[in-house]
Amino acid sequence: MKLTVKPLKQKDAGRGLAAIDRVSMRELDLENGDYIVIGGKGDSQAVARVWPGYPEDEGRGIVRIDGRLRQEADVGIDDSVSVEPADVKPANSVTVALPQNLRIRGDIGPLVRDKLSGQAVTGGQTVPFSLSFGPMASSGQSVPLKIANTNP
Amino acid sequence: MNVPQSVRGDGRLARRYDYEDESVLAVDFGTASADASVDLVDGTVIVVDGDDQHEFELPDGATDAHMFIRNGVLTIELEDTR
Repeated sequence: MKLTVKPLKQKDAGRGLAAIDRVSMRELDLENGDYIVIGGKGDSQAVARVWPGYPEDEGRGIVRIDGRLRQEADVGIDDSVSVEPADVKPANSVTVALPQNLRIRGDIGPLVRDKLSGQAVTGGQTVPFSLSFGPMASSGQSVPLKIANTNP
Repeated sequence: MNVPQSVRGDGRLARRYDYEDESVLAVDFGTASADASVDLVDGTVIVVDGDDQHEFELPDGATDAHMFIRNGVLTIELEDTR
């Protein structure tokens, strides 16, 4: 189903939520909390959880997502995206790709695993991965972590 | 319907939306709370999230509401009592 992208209120941002107007939610047979896949430009995709639509959006075919999800789906405000219910399954393994120019010493596997644990991802998706952790977590930079493959 | 500070705290997001035919209260406990459950006992909403438990009252006059929690998102649907 095609929906129009609008911004999420600033205070609601950063949680991977997508506020979908109630008429569109009913048509897609979605409930709050369900996972959806948002298809943007090219192969870009974002995964989000459904949040109640804003009353003013009722029946207007609107999905409200924050800047991070817009970046993941490579779309802007007023762009059209496809929204489908996501079939989320626990993965046995996830293959990720980090930027080539990133020099890493040691094994960051456990760190990546911790970061992705409990998060829904899909092949082709790029998620920001914070390089710092512990007390420095909020101040650090993040690098794009590409989800190359998932099983299942 | 008011959500107590204890539920709003810890970076949770709580919002109330008033539609034409009903009001919806939504609280995001986050994806780490995917196994949380919700119950309604004598007008009190009880959310059990691992070792944490949160309780708050339905508004006066409301004795029943449709509620569910999915992937950490708690939804309470109240038919309009205005």
